[in-house]
Amino acid sequence: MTDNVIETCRLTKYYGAKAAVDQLSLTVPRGSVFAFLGRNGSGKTTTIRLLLGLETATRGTARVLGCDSQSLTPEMRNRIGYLTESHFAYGWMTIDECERFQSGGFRQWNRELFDAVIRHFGLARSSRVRHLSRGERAGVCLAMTLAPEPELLVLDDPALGLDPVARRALLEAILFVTRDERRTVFFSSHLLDDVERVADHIAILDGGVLRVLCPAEEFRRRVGAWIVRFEGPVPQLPPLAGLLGVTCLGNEMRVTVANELEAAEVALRSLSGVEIKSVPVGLDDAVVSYMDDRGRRRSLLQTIAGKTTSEPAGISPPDVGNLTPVRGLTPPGSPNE
Amino acid sequence: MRTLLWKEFRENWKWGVLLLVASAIGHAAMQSNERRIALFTTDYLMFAAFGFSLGALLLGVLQTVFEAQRDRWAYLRHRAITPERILLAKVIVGLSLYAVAVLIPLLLLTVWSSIPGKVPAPFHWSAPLNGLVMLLAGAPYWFAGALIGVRDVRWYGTRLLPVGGPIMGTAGMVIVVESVGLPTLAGGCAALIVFAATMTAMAVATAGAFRNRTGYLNQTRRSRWCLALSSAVSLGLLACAALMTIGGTLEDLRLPWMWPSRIVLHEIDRHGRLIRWERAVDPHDPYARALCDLTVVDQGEGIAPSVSVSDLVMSVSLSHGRSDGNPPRFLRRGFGQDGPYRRLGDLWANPRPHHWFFDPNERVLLGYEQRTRRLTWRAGPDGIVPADQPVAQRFSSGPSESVRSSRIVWSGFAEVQRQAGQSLERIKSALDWTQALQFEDGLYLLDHDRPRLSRVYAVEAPDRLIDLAITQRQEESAMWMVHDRVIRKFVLTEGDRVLAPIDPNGHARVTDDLVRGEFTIPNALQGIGQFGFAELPEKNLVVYRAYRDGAAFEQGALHTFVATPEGKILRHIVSNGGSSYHQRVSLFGAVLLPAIPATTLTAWWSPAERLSIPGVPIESVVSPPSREFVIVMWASSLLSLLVTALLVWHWRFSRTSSLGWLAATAVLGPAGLLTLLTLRERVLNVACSGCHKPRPRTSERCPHCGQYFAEPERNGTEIYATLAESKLSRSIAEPVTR
Repeated sequence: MTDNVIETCRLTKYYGAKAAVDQLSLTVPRGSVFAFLGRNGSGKTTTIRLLLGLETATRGTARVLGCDSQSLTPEMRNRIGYLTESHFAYGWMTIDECERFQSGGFRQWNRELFDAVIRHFGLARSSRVRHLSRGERAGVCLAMTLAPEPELLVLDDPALGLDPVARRALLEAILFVTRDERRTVFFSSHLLDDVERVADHIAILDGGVLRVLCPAEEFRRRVGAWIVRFEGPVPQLPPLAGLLGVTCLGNEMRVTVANELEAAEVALRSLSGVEIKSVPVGLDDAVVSYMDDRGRRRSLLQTIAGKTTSEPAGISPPDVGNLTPVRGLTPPGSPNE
Repeated sequence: MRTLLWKEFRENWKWGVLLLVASAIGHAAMQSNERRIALFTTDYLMFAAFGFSLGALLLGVLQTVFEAQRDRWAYLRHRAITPERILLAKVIVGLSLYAVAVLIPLLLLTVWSSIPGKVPAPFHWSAPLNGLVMLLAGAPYWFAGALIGVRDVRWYGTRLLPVGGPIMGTAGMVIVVESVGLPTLAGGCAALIVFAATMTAMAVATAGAFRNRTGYLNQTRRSRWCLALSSAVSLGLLACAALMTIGGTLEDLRLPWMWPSRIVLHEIDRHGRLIRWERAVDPHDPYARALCDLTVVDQGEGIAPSVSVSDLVMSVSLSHGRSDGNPPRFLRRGFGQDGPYRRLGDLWANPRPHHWFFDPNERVLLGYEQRTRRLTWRAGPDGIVPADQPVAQRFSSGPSESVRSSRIVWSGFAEVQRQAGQSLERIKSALDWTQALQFEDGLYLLDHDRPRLSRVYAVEAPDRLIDLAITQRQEESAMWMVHDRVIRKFVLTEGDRVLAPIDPNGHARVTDDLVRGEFTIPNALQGIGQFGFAELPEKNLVVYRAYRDGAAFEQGALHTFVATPEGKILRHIVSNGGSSYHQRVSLFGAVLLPAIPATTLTAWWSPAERLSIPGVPIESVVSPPSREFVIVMWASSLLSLLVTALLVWHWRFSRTSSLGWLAATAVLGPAGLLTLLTLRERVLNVACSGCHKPRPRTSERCPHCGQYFAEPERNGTEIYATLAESKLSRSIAEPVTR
């Protein structure tokens, strides 16, 4: 029996001529809290819908709990909890009716857990869903998702639109679920603080293409950043393998690099700056670097700086397109491996 | 399942209530005419056919179209229940709401109609049957609505196409009700078969759509076929509509390359000849061609008589259609719309104090008073008695339907008489034909106002009166009767002059004062479809078409008698063919018509064969299509087949699928190709990075060189760690390769 609850192989989905998901090969280990990250429109929701058989893949396959996602049986769906992106629940139902309706669709139902989540969010069971705030509705949906005690919890941007209190409650609920090591949480999010707190694995989609797939710790370890200060104008940056982003402000240059950290440090030191120091990279900084077109485009800060101050001579956006790919870093399932 | 049913009901009861209100208003509007029971009428049948269907369709759409929103659908779909059970819950609730919304007003109207004093007409338990049949016919529309609502395809594309299946089902049910009739075992069985077939096809197609809303390929084969069938029917209907609209428009334009429609008529000319001739339908088109003279027995079909159009003085309606002699009920306005009881007199005429019906079980006439709306009179051959008294005698059979209709149109009769120098008074009758009732034992006059029933002409047994012909102009009328004694059939004219072809020993001859010869007419004369009579200075002309069976479609030959003014039969010509309308539908008809079934059906269903009579020269009723029409039809069908073959090859369909689509195109012609184009998801090809040939992007490997798709471009920033050692098997990807 495989130890992965989700496996995709070159999963591809086109909408018209655009590839929403492009040859996604992904594995999610059992018992992990897996964060699925990416910008809006990067293909996260499409991937989740493909995994649950709600969309048909153009090509490639996806297996969830060992079963082809396009033919998930009721038994398999019984083992998967799914929280939709919009926290959908029928507006005309009361919370009590929501429970009655949802419990009829699953084989087991933990009423105590449902009650606990509802109490946690401070909701009255007689309230109609249409009268709830977005955070409260998220609580109802989370309760409905958790009560069947699913083996795999798929949450599509669960914290979207929630206030800090609701987010905290949601995180606690997720952590509550992962007490059981057999349970897996696969969630997409834009809130990187939350991701940093709970996720032990991350994947980053960029334009439908998988760019990162690793444990969270590994990700932090393989992304580095330096600030180099120069006396005069910032010199031209030499080609750097794994360059994620460059930000210039005054006579300082901040460089973020993935994978080839040692080589990058050597190259930066050769620029003979006044000072070079390695700065800690948080998960949010690293992820943003990936989402920010990986050096192809200047950051907003750089753009503002370029408008307000004279642009440093000799600086040009690094041409990362011609860089040699790092050997040995191929995604799983690649056919040309 | 219970929670699903509860949820569906809570969400949709409001639509059911709206439908109930609309249905109630519709039923009330149908019963607005207080002189009839609406449930028996064709108007109600049409209301039910369209209204119930529309209601079910809207209910199906409303139950699914909101549910099909992205996250709402995901929420409903992702549970430990099969999509079929989700659909089943919707079906149970939807059809229950539909049935309740339709049944309550229907039953209320039925009960109301059955209460004496509400409607001046006899009630029969079969009154709600038409509504019930249309209730069944409407059910498949719910599935069509669900398909429209749930399928995630373009509104202007194939989304609305599934409606075609139920439309054909409704058409089938209406045909069953109108032709076979209810309540009969055959009619019930036929209606149930049509219902079951339509329901099954639509239910299977809907189940497939619930399993996969977006894709066509990922549905089960049965679902695909059912959806394709329903869509093909819609496309066929659309093609017919386009054909009629575009063809008619172009024909109106009278473009030089169009073929004008032709009509074949029978007219009597000044010389007493019955001319079959062809002219253009367009009155501006001077085309006219005489085909033959039916008063000349030995004239072949190829010898066209010399005749001037200006000599034609009187038309004789001798159309082949059933509508002249025994029309289906929906064409018989005012007759046969009261269930098993026959209404006597025109419902649409001025209000009368009494409404009369013939009771086929009791074989008596029933008179309902308009004022009290209750049964007040009964009538038998011996007269009228109050309703509470028994009728001494009963009629041997029901009145003939022909009494109601003036089947013979003597459009040019007065002109002929004038040209013949004869007075109109000679054939003028004092009888009020609207009061005439024709029974087998004679002709009766029923005075609706007094009321009074009197027999004006009696036929002694074993003779029986089998037909009555009435001619009319606005102020004059005349009457001819045809009656029969098993072996005797004769035409009786006013003034006791009789033309009687009889058949004592399998032969027919003229008898009574007109015995002049013998003629062989093998087919038994049981009724007369069309009838014409012309008195000319030199001769009289009698033309009629015999029915083999008075109630069936089968028609006998066309008989033409040429007699002297004294009644001596000079000629008796038996021929075939009648007035017909040749709709030339231009090339558009040929383009859309499937060649193989059209050719096969034409060869198999030969009107000439149906109307063949030994020893009688045959003329085909349906003229064969022109050579150009055949060429265009075959070219269009073959081109469709070729394009279909190229597409299935290009899209790399499986062998079974390819054969299926080729067979569909062979049978349906261009409609099959259109179905393929509209239903199949378009597979975009991309250039292969290996061989640079186009390859479908749905295939893992290039069908030409076997190359996988190139990996997305990388720049060294990718991090794939630890999880790279996935145990993912290559075989996972293989099943999706088409």
